[in-house]
This record gives sequence, C-alpha cells and structure tokens, in this order.
Amino acid sequence: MKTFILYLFLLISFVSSFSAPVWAHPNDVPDPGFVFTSDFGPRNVTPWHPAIDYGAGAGVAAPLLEDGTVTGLSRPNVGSIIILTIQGVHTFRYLHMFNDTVLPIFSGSFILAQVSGGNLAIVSRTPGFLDRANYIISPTAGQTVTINSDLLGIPGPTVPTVLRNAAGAGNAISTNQLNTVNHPAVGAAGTSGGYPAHLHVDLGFNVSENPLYHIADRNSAYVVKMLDTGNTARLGDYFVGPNDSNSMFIKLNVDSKVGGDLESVRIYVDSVDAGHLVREFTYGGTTPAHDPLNADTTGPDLSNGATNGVQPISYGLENFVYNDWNTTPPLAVRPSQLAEGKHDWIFVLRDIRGHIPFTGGIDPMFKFTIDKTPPSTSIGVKKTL
Amino acid sequence: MNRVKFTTFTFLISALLMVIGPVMTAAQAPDQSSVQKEISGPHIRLNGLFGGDISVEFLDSAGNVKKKIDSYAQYYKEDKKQKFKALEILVPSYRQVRQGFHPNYALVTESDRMYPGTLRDIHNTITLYDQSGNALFQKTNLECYPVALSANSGISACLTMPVEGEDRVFTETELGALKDKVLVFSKHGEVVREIKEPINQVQNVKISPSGNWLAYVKQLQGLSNQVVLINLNTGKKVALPVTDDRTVMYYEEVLDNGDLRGYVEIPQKESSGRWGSVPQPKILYRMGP
Repeated sequence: MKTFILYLFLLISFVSSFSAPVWAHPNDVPDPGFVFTSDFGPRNVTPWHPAIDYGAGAGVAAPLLEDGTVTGLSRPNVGSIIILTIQGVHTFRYLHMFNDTVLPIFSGSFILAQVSGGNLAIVSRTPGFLDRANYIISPTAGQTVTINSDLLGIPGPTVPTVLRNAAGAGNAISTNQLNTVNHPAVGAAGTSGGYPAHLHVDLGFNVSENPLYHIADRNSAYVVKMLDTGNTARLGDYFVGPNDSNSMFIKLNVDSKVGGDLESVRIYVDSVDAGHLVREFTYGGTTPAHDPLNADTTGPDLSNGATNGVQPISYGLENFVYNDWNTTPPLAVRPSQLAEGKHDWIFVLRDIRGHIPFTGGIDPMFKFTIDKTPPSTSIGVKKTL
Repeated sequence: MNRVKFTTFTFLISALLMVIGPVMTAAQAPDQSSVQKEISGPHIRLNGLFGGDISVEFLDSAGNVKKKIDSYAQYYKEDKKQKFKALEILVPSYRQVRQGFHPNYALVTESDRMYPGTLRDIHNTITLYDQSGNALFQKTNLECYPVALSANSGISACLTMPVEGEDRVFTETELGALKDKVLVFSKHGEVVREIKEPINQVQNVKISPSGNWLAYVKQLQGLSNQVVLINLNTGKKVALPVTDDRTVMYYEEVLDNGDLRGYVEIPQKESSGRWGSVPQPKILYRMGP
C-alpha cells in the first residue's frame, strides 16, 4: 500500500510538472557585456539597422549567446561578410568575424579554415599547443581540418597537418551542435565586410526584430530634450500660440545611449490616454514583422530635422519631429483647442522590454503655456532728421 | 527473466559492433596512397590547399609550368569609395584534389566590387581553363559568382546572390522581386539553364562529373531544408521532401546517376604515430531507377 501511495505521488508530481504553466521569459540569453556601438533602428544612409553592434576589437572572442545548431557559416567569396548562423530557441547570426583575406585566417585564439568537405569552419585553438583544437564549429559535423604546419608555427618541413583534439588523443572533429558550456565562444570579432572591427548580432536575414528582446537587459537611463526650429533646447514653460507655427513645432531629442534599447516614443498632453496622444513612433523591434510606426526610414519617415519623422544622428541619439500638432491629433489636444494657461507634455518612452527607461522610473514631463493672444502689430516709426 | 537475457544479449551484440565496426570501416577505406597518381600529360596542379594563397599551375608533358595563376585579395580606395579586388580559383572537388587527383578544369574569377554598406558594383570576370591552360571561355561584367564545376564536362554554375548583409532590410515588395539565380554555363560559355529560387535560399550547388545532374539545397525557415536535383539534359526536377534533418543537405558530390554522396571521416593513427583520417564515401540519397 505504501508503495502504491508513493507511485501515486510520483505520478501526480510528474503530471503536474507538465500541466503547471511554464513562464518563458523572452530575455533569456546572457548579455555578452561588450559596449554597444550601434543600436537597432533607423539610419540615414542605410535605411535600417536590424541588429545590435558590439564594439569588440579584432581577435576578441565572440561569446556563443545560446545553444543551438549551426545552420550556416558563409562567406560567399573572399572579402564578403563572414556570417555564422545558429538556430536554437532563437536564430542568432554573428557577422563580421575575422578579416577578409584568404584562408586560413588566424585571429586571436581562433582560425577560420575549411573542413575536409569544403565547408567553412571556426577552430578554437587549445592554449599551449600549436596543432590542437578545443572544438571546431562547422555546419558539417564529423569532419577534420588540415592546415600546413608552417602556418601553425610548427618548425621543420611544411606538411599538411590535421588538427588534433585538445587531449592530443585523436583528430579534432567538427561539430554543428553547440552549447555555451563546451563551446563558450564562436570565433573572433573582426573586420570582414570592410568595416572597423565589431560584432554584429541579429536574428536572421531580413528579420527586423531587436536582438535585445532576447538578450538580458541592461539598465536604461535615457535623456530627452525638446528642441526648437533652431535646434536650441526649449526652456520649461515655454509659450505656444496657435498662430505661431514655430511654437507648435515638436522636436524631441532622445539620448538612449545608456541602454541602447529604445523601442517607442509617445508624446501626450496633460494625460496618458488615446484622447491626449499627439504623436507616436515605434521601431517594431519586438515583432517578427518589420513594422515601425512613423519611424520607418525605408519609407517616408526619414526626417531632415524639420520634416515629420525620425532624424538619426548617431548611436543612441535621434530626433523625433512632428509639425502637425494643430491639424492631426485629437481635437482636444490641438493648441487651438487647449485652454489658455499651463499644460504638461508627458513623454512616454519605452525600452524593448517595456520598461520606463529613465532614472527613477517616471515618465518625464515638461511644461508649456497656451497663449492665444494674437501677435501684436508692429508699429513703424518714420525716420526723421 | 527472458527479457533480462534478451536485453543483455542485445547489449553485448551492440558493444561488439561498436568495437569491430570502426575496424571494419577502416579496413574497407581506400588506401590514401593509392589515390596519388602521377600524370604524364599536360595537367593542372593546385598549391596551397592547406593554407596560404591558392595557386593553379598548368604543366606540360615534361612537367614544366606553362602558366601559373595566383589567388589574391586586396582592398583599395577609389574616389573615396572602399573597393575590393580578388582572384579566386574553383575546381570540381577540393577533397579530390587534396587526395591527389588532378582536376581537368579550373574556373578563375577576377572580382571587383565595392564596400561598405551593401555589396554593390560587382564586376566579375570568369574564365574556364582546360588542363593545358587554354581559356575555353571568358565572360565579363557578371554579378554572379561561380559555385560549381563538373569534373569531366566543364559545365559550371554561377550564383547571383541577393544584396546580403549589413544594414539592409527589404520591403516585402522588394523581397518578392529578388531571387537567387543560378546560371548554368556549358564548357563554351553558353547559358544552358537558368534556375530561380526565393532570395537567400540556394546553397551547396554541385554538378555531376559528366554534367548530367545539378544539385542544390534550399535553406528554408529555421532548420528546414530541401534538396533539389535537376537533370541538365532533360530538365527533370526531383525535389526531396522538406525536412529538418540536416544529413543529406551536406552532400559533397552529386553523381552522374543522380545519387548524392558524402564522406565520413575515419580517424586513423598512421605508422609515423601522427593522427590522420580516412574519408569513407557514403551515399546519402539514391536516385533510383
């Protein structure tokens, strides 16, 4: 009877483990820790950067972000961007590793070479040994890498040398199944493709989704400023008149360098609800689709600083521009309809994980005063002798 | 009790197979030295296959080098634009060349293209050489890159790739218009077939030795892939089922009967005490009758 009860308990526990809700956090990949040099979002020249760039110097080990299968390691030809694709829970691509010369390419503690079948392979070398590999990453598993001995630094006559495994007990064999414990790094950051050394991480070719949605979050500390038509920061409690287009010009300068994970900007007057929304911009970084709102610089949303849209400036720095405050938003928030007197801008920005990205966790506010007084007529004074 | 005996028996048989299996396979593997063959007539010799710049040499009957072409890769700047030049050499099978076979043809690509941003202004010149170093055809101003060459017929495949990579997202309309395009050239440079597939899908293009079959892989979403074979004589298309299994897609050769062949590396300690490996050919797909 006791055995029966024990089995029943185990059975219930087993079934419960499946029926209990499983909470999968989307941001489940460790942060590789490098500084950001380019964030997800619009660009002036190349219209959209669907990726995060990490500022890793040439030769620096690029960490494997997530366990998975190597589905691609390509360099269409000498000089192209080297692209490693690993399919796990997500598909992460690592671009620009190594440089552009002919194979084999030595960088840091890695070699880009070919496995016996001809596919590319990334060799993680064993410290202290010239001809040993901790592991070999390649789309094709079970193959060896052969490199001339002189290139490996082995003295004596030059002979093709098959890389041995870390223990020296046999050939090192390529693998296409990676895990972060046994394969902590995927290669060396580099310059392939003709750029300064960095590591570009995205979620696949033609996938416009912010990789930071799946990489552990960093604390964000954004700064916003309202600029006037002359790019001068407005002072608080500035005057807005419905007959003065300069005063109704909206230009929000957003500095998101700390965090680098801007996802949306919404500008409200007095209250955060749909009836008080003046303008919104989103980057569409949380969805598989490429669906930025009023920020898609592949379309008409690239601002020159005066026209509606986003004006990219540099990493983590953009201007969000809007000229139609008095014609398009809900009537209640147009300057011509607002009551005379003091009002508040409320800037609701969110990072890729939906957090308020400001120190203190409060949406910033900024005062302005509606003044409907018609402009005074200038009085000409006749010049007299 | 019987079940225990059966399990033990199965385990013992499995263990025995695990021990003798590799020995049998190694014994069946071709002797590496037997594939090395000396060529008395004009032939092609490739250098630098295990590192360094690859060069192709065309030798006459006496073994003298008649012509030599060196690969290279270099950046340069022109009108403040970053440009790139490269010369690349393609042979039917690097594995076979490494094992000592001398290829009948070599396809040489001189590439001139511009960076950074998206890859653009691609001007490739491809030249097919025979064993004697004679140019059988040359084509200039191509945007495609040679990806396959048949061993005995000189038929080649040239892939036009999408504008891949950095800082570029296409709209759906643009995506629909962009295709991977494979041009198949005869030995004399005529386009004998044109294959189009959705953008960024075509991989691992191979042509059988006599040019009967062309094989390629369509890399689909995630791990999914589909191997496609096309009979270059009849146009018959054989599309294998879409699968997440990645075994077949890494074939190294397509044979003249349409079979796909890969290799399994059998580690083997050589008499010198160093470790080597013996590649064991393995049919991954049979075309059937």
